[in-house]
This record gives sequence, structure tokens and C-alpha cells, in this order.
Amino acid sequence: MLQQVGIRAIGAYIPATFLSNYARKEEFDITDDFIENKIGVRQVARKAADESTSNMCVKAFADLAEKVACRVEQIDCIVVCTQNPDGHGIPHTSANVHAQLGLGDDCAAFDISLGCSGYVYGLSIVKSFMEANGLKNGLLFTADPYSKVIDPADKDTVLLFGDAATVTLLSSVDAGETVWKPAKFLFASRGKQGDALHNKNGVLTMNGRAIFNFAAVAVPVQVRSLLEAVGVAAEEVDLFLFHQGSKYIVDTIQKRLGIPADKVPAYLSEQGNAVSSSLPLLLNRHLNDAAVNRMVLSGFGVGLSWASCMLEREKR
Amino acid sequence: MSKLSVAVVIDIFHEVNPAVIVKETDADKTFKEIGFDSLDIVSAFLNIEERYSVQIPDDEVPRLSTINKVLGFVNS
Repeated sequence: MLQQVGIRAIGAYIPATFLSNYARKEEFDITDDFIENKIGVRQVARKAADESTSNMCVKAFADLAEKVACRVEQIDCIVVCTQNPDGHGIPHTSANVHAQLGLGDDCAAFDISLGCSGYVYGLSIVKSFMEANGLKNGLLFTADPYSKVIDPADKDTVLLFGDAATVTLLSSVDAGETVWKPAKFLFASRGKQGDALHNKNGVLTMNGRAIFNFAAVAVPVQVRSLLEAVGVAAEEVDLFLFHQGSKYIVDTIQKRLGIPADKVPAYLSEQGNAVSSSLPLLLNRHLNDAAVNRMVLSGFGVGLSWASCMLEREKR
Repeated sequence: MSKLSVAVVIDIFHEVNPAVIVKETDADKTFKEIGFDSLDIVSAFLNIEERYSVQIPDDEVPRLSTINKVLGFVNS
């Protein structure tokens, strides 16, 4: 039987320091309605100034280790998805995580440079890498602390983005085991619009309208294509998990797809848009829900880049 | 394609934010005065672009602050 890799568990880390968006209502001329029902972010999480991206990954791993038996000597590969790496990016952040976790020389480590689509891409990359090379256990980290590059006076970004990290344990599945299996992936890019969300001389700049228009139009098209590719009707999907860009964009995508709002959970109000961590933070809340057997994940943003996949709970 | 009308713009804005009441007599009030925020405007403009096959450039958006200004731009 061919080796198959599935998602076993997720660990998460959200820094304990938060900046309230209510405290900036007057400064930015915004209302409670805008905070709660439009951006949907009451507060944003902020890492400590001396906390590195790899430190955040290690804290997410500590959370994972509390949930599942996960000995470091059993880890065959680690991958970190970030565009705000440790230091100036050399060495790669995954090497720093490798060192801090005390992983062995036979554990592969590399980074992926992607933003909000990174978790979906990362699932495919790690799953494929493991299956191609016969690896048993892999860790996919997401940690993209935008606080490193946010202008505190920029209303468009400072109210929205929060820091967080996650780690997803992917393992080869033994006969009789039940895990979440990524069933089908779709990927897309539109590099010509890359300046809609980019780091300009060390500061994040965002054209909110361009990002909104892109997501509102492109994501429903890709999700419909995904459903068609796997021959599954929207009614047969238990949950649709969208990158938590803002409440408004998630609501817009839900309405444009014509799917019920109760199939589109939200999780950003207490920490903000956590970039590539937003999907695994959300998935973590539903992974062990016995009533959920099929989910669509869709990430979209920086690049522009977007990716969607179908996850199915499957007994091997 | 038929021209964009005040009634259609009102319908589109009502779709994006049903909580805000807009009347035809509001056609020269700014969207902000009527009660719409920047996200409502972005969303409504996208709907207009899609329905009327027009492009509203980013630098036009600040100028298109009322229903009548939007009509003038799209119908020209």
C-alpha cells in the first residue's frame, strides 16, 4: 500500500500582549460597528519585541506536545512558512527552530516564502515531500509576525494584522487509523498585482480595495472549481474555512458562494489576521469536531497568491 | 446595457449594507454622510464594476463620493 500522509494535530501560539482597536476609535475615526462587524477584529496580538519568529514556532510546538505524543527524535522534517523570518533570513528560520527543538541531523528543515495562502501550499508541499521520501512525521510551522513591518499609524494594516504561530503535525497513516487527509489542492498566482500588499522599504503597505476585489472575485471561482474537481456539492461540505483576512471579506466570499453562514466559522476577533497562521488557528478549533468530516480550506493574499484544498476525515 | 440609475445605485448599496437607509433625495450627499463606510463603498463599487463592465480606477474613488458622481462617471 502506498504511504499516505495526513494531518494529526495542530499546536498554536498567540502572544499574550494585545492592542485594543477600541482604543484607537477616535484617532482613526472608526466606530464599534466597523470594529465588530466590518474588520471583525477587537484586538490584535503582538509578540514581545525580543521574541523571534523561531521562538514563536517553538512555543506553538510546546502546545502541540501537550496534545499529542510528539518526540523530537521522531520528527523527520520541519518546514516554516514565513515572510518575516528571524534576523535577515540567513540562516533560514526553520534552521533556528531545528536548533531550539534539539532536532537531529537527519531531520530536514526548510522555509517557504508565502503569506496568507501559505498554509494550503505548505500542506501540499510537506505531504508531497514526506510521501516522496518515505518520511513518517513532519511539522509544518506558520509564523509571520507582521508587527515587525507594520507602521503603527497605518489604519489599513495596524487594526487588522495580529501575530501568531502554529504547527501542524503530519504523519504517515497506518492501516486502521483515522486522520484528516488533504484530498485535492488548487493553486493560483497573480504576480502582476503583487504591489497590492508588499513590504516597501521595511514597511507593510496594502491597497485594501485591490485585495478586497481580488479575494471577492477569485476565491469563489477557485472554491467552485475545487468542488467540481472532486465531484462534491457545497451541501456535502461540513465547513468552509477561509483565510481570516477580515470579517468583511469572509462574509463577502460566503455570500458570493451562496453557502450558509453557519458553515463558515470565524476566528479573528481576539487576535487579528494572523497571515499564514489564520487557517491553522481556525482549523485547530474544528479538527476534533466529530460532526465534521469534510472541510474546504482556502487561503488568499500576498502575491497575489491563492490556494484551496479539500480535507476529508478518512479511515485508512 | 441600460444606464446606471439612482435607483440601481441605491439597490446596490442596500445589498452591501441593508442597515443604512438611502433615499433618492440623498443622491448628492456623500456616502459617508448617508452612513456608509469605506468597506461598503469598496464592495458596492465592485458590484457596479461587475454589472456594468466598467473599471473604476483607484484614483477616481475619492472623487466618486456621491450617487450622482458615480452615475456621471459610469454613464459617461
